[in-house]
Amino acid sequence: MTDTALSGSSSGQKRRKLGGLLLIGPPLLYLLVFLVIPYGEIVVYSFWKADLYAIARDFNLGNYARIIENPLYRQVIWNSLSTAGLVTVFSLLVGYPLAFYLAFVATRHRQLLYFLIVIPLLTSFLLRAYTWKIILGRSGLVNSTLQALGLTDAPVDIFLYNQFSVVLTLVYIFVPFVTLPIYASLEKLSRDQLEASLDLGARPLTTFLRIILPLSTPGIVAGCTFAFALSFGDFVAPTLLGGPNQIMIANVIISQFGTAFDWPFGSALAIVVLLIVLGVVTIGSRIERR
Amino acid sequence: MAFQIKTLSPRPGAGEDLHRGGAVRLERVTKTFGDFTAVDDLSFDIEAGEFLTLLGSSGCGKTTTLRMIGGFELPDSGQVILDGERQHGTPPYRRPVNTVFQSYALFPHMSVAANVAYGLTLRKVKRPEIKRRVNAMLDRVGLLDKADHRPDNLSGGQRQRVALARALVNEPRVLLLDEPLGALDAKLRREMQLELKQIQTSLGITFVYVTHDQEEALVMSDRIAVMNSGRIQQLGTPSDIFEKPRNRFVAEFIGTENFLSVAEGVPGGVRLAEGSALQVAHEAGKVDTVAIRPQNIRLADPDPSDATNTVAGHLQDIVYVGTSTRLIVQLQNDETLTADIAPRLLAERPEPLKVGAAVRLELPPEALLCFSNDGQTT
Amino acid sequence: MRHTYDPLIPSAGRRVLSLATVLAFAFLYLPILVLALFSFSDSSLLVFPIESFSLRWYHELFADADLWRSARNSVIVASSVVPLTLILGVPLAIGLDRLSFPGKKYLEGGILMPLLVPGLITGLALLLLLKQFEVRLSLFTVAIGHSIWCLPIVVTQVYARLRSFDRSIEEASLDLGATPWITFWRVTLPNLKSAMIGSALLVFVLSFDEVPVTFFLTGSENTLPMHIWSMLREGVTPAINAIATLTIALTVALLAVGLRLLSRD
Repeated sequence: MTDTALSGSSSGQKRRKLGGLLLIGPPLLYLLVFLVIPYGEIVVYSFWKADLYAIARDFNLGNYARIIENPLYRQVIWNSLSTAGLVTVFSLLVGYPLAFYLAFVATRHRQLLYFLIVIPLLTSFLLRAYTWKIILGRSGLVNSTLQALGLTDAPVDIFLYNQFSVVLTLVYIFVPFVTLPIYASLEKLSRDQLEASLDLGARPLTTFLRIILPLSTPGIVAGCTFAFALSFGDFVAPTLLGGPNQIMIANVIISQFGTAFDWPFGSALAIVVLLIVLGVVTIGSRIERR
Repeated sequence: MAFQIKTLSPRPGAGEDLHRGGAVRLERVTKTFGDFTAVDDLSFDIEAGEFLTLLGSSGCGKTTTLRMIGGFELPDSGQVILDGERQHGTPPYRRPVNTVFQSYALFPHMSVAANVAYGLTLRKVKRPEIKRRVNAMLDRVGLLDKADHRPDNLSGGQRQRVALARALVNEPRVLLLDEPLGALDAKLRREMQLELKQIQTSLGITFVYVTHDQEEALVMSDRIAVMNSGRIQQLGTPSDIFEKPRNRFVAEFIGTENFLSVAEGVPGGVRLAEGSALQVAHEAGKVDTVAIRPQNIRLADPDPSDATNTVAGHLQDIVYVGTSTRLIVQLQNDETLTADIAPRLLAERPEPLKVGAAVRLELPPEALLCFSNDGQTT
Repeated sequence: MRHTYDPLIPSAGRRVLSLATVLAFAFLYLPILVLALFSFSDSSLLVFPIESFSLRWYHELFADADLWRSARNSVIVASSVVPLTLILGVPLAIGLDRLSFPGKKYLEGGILMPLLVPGLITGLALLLLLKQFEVRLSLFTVAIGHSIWCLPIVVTQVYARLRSFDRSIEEASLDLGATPWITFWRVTLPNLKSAMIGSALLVFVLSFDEVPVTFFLTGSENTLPMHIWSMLREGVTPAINAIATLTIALTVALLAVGLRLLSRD
């Protein structure tokens, strides 16, 4: 509310407005040019049509119709949704207890453990996906261990190139993403409130369900939204570790801008992704507001 | 770790007859945190239905003691006993004790009514009954119209009353209050002090109250336990503590000023280091220090011939404090005495007192408190 | 008997949580450790037990000129993205905190969007713009893409720091005779140091490893992740284990340095 501190109290509206403009003008301009307009272009492109190697700029809904009608694209979207959903659920199942431990049990080593959770987050997405490829592959670690232990004779294929490997890899990548916001939420809880719950007769489990869980919802929503949105639009994991059935929508978009050379269609797909992500974010903020 | 087989939760719907226990006994309770001894071999009894205050400054162990009664800390040794039953290892949710936290600790995601109802919803109380009791309790604390509000919409004083209602609605045998009025302004504090006392008296629940404010303790308590360094310095009624502090610590804590060193004992009294001889009311043992309350000092005639129990000095400062005038008098050995004199008496003097004037102060024998250096009152 | 008595977490629960935590950390770190281990293995197969150890893959790595060029490119890009996002992000955060203007709510809501929207699409969008103006793809275009993606990070970090900022020190500065501009430089900005350093480090690391946004915006010069991506498409070579181990070690080192800097703040 006090804008006066920086802009000077008695120098009048004009100078304050100018100062404000100078302050946020350049960044907003930058965003306008490099974010808003480009997104606008995608929207526009999505309504055009690819005509061999040229682009016919007639406004039409053909691309969107194709997405809706063609079962192939519906399948791909469904694939992406289910993978993203599974990744979110499993990341939550691993991440929540981890965040809980960090917030309530680990008193002495908290800093160190926090550090240890952050480290994987900062290492290359690509390389982390790669590690699972080599662990799960035919000549990878799992198979060679199984063979060495005598449990199998030949390399087993079930570990790689299926939804399992894609989901596993993405969970591996997103657990820290989910854990940290939840930890932030849990850390904000005051010890007094939890003791008050116990004092009034609630057992630990009841306290968890009625006090801790509801109050950690913001962190859960933040982490899960992130994990869902980024898994949904990922192409690295399905390319490296997925089979032909694991093509996700990002892969299709890439091919539209590559070999298929159908930029309008690719743009329409991108808009669909955008809308779905926006939808998820909206649902998330609705949940949080309650 | 022994579990309590019998649950100690109060019977729901016990009605208004709440004289059913609430006696607390601490037997040789000790609690240390690392090198720091918070509570040191503490033993005392709290009677059922009494308002007992643990009084002391921060770090004296009063809050730790409270938390051990509530079940949030485990004594390193000793026992907490409620109505004859040992509580060792019993978690807070199984004790017939409720707590009002200093920070109120209201649940932000629930309405006021839901907060108050929380404890009842955890037992098999039926919904209509819960509603009835919650409304009755909210009415009692004057917040019925705020039942559906969220805690952050309320003022500090209102939140404090919600915290109180939330605890009391469960009809605990003992209510623990951890400096609940600390965040309120002076006027509200005074109102709440009286209100709390009234509630306690009418419900007959044992209140264990923690505060560092001696005035608060004197106003509300049936008995006060003055604590320091994890031990009780004195346990007694407010008038015991105020009139007859057992040692210098207690005396200083409740606001006694004017400590004067004693040079030697003389028959019937003492001779001060300052030189004057004073008679004291009760004589026993060695006296090293005497003290007197500012209100009990009287202004004597400057004429030394009429001098029993008087000291002479120079007026160092005059401070007008509204209901009285404070005279700060420096004695000949540089010790100072602070006297609170009614402005009316000063006005009756032929000439107004000025700084630097010679004055004589009378110290009535019955108002003198005597202490020996080993910390005890003689 | 008990380390700390906590009525909130009964001992059975504590044991379960500890187990879950150990498993979670094992899940997070065992693959990395396996990777590191095999980067020192002489054989190109990932089989236990490791017969012989060697630095063979590291040598191969260091001999790969293309790899080093791409690493250098990544450093160039990341080093330009950091100042870019700081120069844009800090004023924006201050503006969000202190000014009121029409549409502010949309900005506040929308500022996180580049982070949530798949990077692919952000890269795509920029590609369309660049194509329209016939701008050639290069490291420069990559940097712009990264800056869009990383700007929310700087803005949110600095904004959060501003929210918990004690305004009275600025008022004290003005009271003592400093102009608003000087107050900004000598009082406000130094107090934002930790948020700025923190987000700068984060932006550097994220830009260095970035894949989706870079994908569509790379020209003739590759960044390190793009180079690795093409290596991976060709097939698995253990030299990648060496890269992975090195980058992880570097990240840890960078984090340690960053934490040291921040704790001194």
